[in-house]
Amino acid sequence: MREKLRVEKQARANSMRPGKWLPTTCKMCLHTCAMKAHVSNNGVVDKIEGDPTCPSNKGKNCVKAVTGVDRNYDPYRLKRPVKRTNPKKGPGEDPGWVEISWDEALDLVASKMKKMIEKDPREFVYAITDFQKIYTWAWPAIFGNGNQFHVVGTYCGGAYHVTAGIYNSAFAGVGDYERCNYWIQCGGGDGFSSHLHVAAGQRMMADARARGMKVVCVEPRLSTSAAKAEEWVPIRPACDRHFVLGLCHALMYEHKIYDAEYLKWFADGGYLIGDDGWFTRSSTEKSLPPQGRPAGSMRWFQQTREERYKPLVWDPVDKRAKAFDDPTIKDIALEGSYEVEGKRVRPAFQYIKDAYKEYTPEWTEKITSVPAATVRRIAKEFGEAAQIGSTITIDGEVYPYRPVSFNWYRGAQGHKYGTMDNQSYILLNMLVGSYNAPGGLLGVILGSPHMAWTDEPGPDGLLDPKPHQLHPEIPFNWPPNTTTLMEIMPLGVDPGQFNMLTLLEPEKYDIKFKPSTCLLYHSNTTWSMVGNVEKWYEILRGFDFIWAIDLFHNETTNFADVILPDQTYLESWALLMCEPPATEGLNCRQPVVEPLGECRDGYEVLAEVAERMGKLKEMNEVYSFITGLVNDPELMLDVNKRYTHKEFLDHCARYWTKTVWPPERGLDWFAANGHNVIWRPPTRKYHMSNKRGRDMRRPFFCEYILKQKKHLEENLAKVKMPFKWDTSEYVAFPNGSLSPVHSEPPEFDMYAITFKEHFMNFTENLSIPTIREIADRDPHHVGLIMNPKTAKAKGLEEGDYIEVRSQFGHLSGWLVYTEGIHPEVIGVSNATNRTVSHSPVTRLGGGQFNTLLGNNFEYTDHVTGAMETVARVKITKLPKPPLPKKY
Amino acid sequence: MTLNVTALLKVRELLGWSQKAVEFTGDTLEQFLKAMSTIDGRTLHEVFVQEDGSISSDYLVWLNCRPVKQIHSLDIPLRSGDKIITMPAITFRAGG
Repeated sequence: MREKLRVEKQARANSMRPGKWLPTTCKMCLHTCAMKAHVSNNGVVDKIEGDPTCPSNKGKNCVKAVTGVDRNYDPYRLKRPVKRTNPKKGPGEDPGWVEISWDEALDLVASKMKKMIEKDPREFVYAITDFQKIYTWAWPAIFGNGNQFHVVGTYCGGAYHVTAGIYNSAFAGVGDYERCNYWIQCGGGDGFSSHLHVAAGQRMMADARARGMKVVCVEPRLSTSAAKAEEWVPIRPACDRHFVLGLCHALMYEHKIYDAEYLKWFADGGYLIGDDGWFTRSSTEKSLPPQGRPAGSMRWFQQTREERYKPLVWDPVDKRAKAFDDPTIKDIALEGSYEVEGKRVRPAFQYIKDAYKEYTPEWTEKITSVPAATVRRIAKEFGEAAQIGSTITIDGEVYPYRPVSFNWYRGAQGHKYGTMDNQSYILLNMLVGSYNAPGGLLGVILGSPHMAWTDEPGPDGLLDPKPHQLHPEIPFNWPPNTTTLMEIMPLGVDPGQFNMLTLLEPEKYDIKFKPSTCLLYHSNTTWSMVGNVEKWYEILRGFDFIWAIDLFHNETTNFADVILPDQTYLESWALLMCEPPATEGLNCRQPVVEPLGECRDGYEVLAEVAERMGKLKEMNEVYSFITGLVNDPELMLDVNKRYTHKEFLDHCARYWTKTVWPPERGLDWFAANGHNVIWRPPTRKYHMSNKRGRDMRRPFFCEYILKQKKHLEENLAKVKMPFKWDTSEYVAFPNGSLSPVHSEPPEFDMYAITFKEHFMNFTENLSIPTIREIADRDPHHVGLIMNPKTAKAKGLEEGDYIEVRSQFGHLSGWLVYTEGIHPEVIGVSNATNRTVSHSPVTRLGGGQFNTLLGNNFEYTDHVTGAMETVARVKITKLPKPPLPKKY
Repeated sequence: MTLNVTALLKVRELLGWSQKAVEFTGDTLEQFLKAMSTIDGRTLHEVFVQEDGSISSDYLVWLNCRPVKQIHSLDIPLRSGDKIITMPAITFRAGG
């Protein structure tokens, strides 16, 4: 009774009615914060708090989680299926929505879909972007379609995830909060405002700062990270790689600080490179052939013909070349030039060092605007803080200790040459031996046993590269079957932006089909795609039928013919991996309240459409494959059964716990307990860093990328394409190539960048009153931000209404001064420029940032399809329009 | 030896079954593909493998969760208990 009174008193104090707490997981962004939802006895969720039992977010949530209540009861939510009555489509057109029954809506959708796939399944394009039901992204595979109509991959982590997969068999990477002492933050918000698991990262970063970790933030804008860092280094946009190449030069040539032991034994820094730019291989010693699967950790691996001969290293003690795994090796040379079978060879380290001779701090200053002295100093601080040679004992295991991390994300590599950008950041961490070491940059794996996304030995004593983290490689084929041209990107990540090229001018790209049908599932595609937005409108008008699954109307669903109302995260199921590296396990999200109106779970909507199309078997097969269930006959989905989402997740829960996070547990266990998240044990967190000479060296010199290039070029030579596809960006190590944004016509004298904070993650969150209010209180988010010195030089004053125009598009807004931005840069917050909204809370603005960006091959990373996300612009003062009502 | 074989989508239709423990007397993946009969009287080798001996870009073969790619030879040794998954190649394009 006393406990009951206490709870009721607390409930009243929090404006809560008596009820119960249920464990669940937040879904207001793509992360996985464990939380508790309080549900009153009459079935209303009235309070959300962090779940203190979860070691990841430890009871803390960000503002987004709290506003889940606002989101759930938003009066503008879609609650029944709607059909458009106005055939005219466009941003100024009222669709004339009318509510219809689910039966009518599903009949309409299924009949259109069935007709389309009977004609040509390639006519389907889709934007499926529900991050907590990521298996639904593969739904179109049930009829063999792969036409992604969005850029969730290419915009943020296009090149990032691919390189993490190649170099580390990981999906991502983040500094070791627990042990890092010197953290360079470049174009990312880890630990402060964005990227991996924000609520957990913020807490761990705060703890690290309290014990004395130094943060140096390299960014064009005084971001949240920069504002809290010990040092902010303003940098010209789109040249972070050049800053890092300057650091590498300074470490190699001036400070002479590098981790020789790591480069010799944990990487391929000692592998000999010929003047042809490839590994020099033994002419006699073969690698373990496929026929002789060896014992121990080295399991079977595939080989190409050239991989059958072992790469050589130079033993400076015996003064001769030896196979990389020769047991008689006494030492491995990193520097010098040698002769093998009459040819000059150099160790990979020397080969790269020679190439980096020109990347002096002075060269870096010219490109980046960062003073040469600053580059030298930061290189020295970083190198010295690495404590090269030191070790640490954790739970009785001795590891190398390298407490420095160069940490980065979207802003540092969302560029033309994005692959090289990522390669350079990895290379810097490898240079000081901090890659995967305690204190250094740790790989973040997907954690799901879907396929085999774990590190395994590959050819040549190197890690087996896993560039395709979310779906298998798309084989070469021409003419292409995808509107994203994935057939010519063996390392690509579905560049959805190419839809603008291939749909508007199909003949230029040998596209032999005309997309007619589009699905938008939790995606505001026209908002997120790059390139002139009017062209995207033209494409949307060209589809015969668009159907959507969403919670609200947005800019893109305004073009839809039917919208089906989804459930919020408080009304539906999901089972989610808690992001490593600090923790691991699964978070369960469960319905804590009944769905409003007639809203249905998106998974179940897709299942019903599949069944009505006669594709239920295929859907179960696709989902079995993508979740790994296919590997367990007992848990593989019965192809003939229509599963509820909960039933499907029960299979996943059992399989994932059985194989990765034992003991085996069903979904009911998770519903009762919330999660099975634990601190990642050091043996798993640092499992690669104390195995000297093992068979999974990391590629300091990445010959694998050269092999991909060679194979692609052989395929390209076999076909006749109507355009030239550049393969020069496939390189074994990064160079100083410059993005074309740096050489645009001189009238485009400013750089435009975009940014957001974690509470704006997912644009629609800006229609939540609380979040809107927070954004409006931050001057960076209420206008177009510019350095006052630059503005005054241009005759502009704070409060002026200005146009920002690139070669490709334009937007307008109110000028806001801030000293916290590089003088050559104008900043465009994600919060400023919505053009259509269902909600009066959303502030409409003068156009979106993405319309400023070039959408063409010149501005695209040819290896992965990542795109340049910086624009060159000119600024013009415009007559002031009437102030918006909500300003 | 016994192999655990899963055939998905169009390959399921070709074989007439989706998952089975297959008794196999050969040694390599190539021999396995030759041993697998389709319901229309062909073998998976005839369906999957091109004239130059590589796997067609239309199909994917996974051995113990690892893709066997076009550039790899098919003389891969098999062992009892190996898991083989086959499916059409165009099916998986979910992105990151």
